[in-house]
Amino acid sequence: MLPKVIGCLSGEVVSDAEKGELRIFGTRLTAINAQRLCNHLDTLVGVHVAEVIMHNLEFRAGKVDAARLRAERPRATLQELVKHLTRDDSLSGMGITKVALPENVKNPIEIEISNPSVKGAGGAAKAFAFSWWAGVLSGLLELEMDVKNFLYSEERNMMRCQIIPRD
Amino acid sequence: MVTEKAVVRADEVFAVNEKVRWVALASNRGDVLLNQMRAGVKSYSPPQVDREFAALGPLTILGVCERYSEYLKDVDYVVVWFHLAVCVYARLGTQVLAVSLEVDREAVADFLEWLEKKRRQVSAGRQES
Repeated sequence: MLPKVIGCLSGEVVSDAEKGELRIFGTRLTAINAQRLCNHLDTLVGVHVAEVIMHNLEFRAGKVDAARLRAERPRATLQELVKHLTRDDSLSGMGITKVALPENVKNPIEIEISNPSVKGAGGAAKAFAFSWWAGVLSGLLELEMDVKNFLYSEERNMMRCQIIPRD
Repeated sequence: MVTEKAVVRADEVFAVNEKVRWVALASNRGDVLLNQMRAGVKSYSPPQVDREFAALGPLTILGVCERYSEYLKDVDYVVVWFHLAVCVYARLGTQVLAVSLEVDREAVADFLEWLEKKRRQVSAGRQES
């Protein structure tokens, strides 16, 4: 069986059942039910601690991804990198991510995810996507960023937040 | 960059009992506000491990235990009795304290008595502010 290529550009997502591999932009990943993982973490340690654990995990992962991306694309502008990352979000099933970068990056960066795969008003689900964005933007901007003004609308099936420099 | 003010100082904790070896304090978001060995005392573990543990370890342990709060009411503290040291983890307002002591029952009892007072003091301070 030939590897299945998904996405507009060849090689963006490659699912190779023969090898038991899934790759997005060349990075090997595993498709798991992240909502279930977040819900279970909430049950184990409570919603607040689960959110802190997920924040710690995703923030670090975001910083690592930022360093990798910078090394792979040393000449890319911030806008180009963010465009790549939002595409990565769509391909990996996170949802449709929109990032509004202000001219001055010390001003709030607005992020909205429509149709998010992991959703919730609190707990690990709250930190799952946006803490990663806080980490990746911290790495790219070389500023410690934080997630503020989080909003989840079940009715609109979307989550929104601002990423701002820490005090 | 962390600006949250620590609710306790290291010297205050070390003064409780000379058997207190190490003190750490983290915010409820996992920011380490304090991570200090008593002067002249050598840690059994690498400093980086202590720091990483201080960020999320005590908070996670307390979080797991607090799942029972629904039935058994609040958790005052968690004591872990290792062969080489005794560790105490507790919430102080919105922050989380972690302390290690020599294996000495009197020293631990002394420390827990101080901790109960300190928790009441921090809690009263929060209610006033």
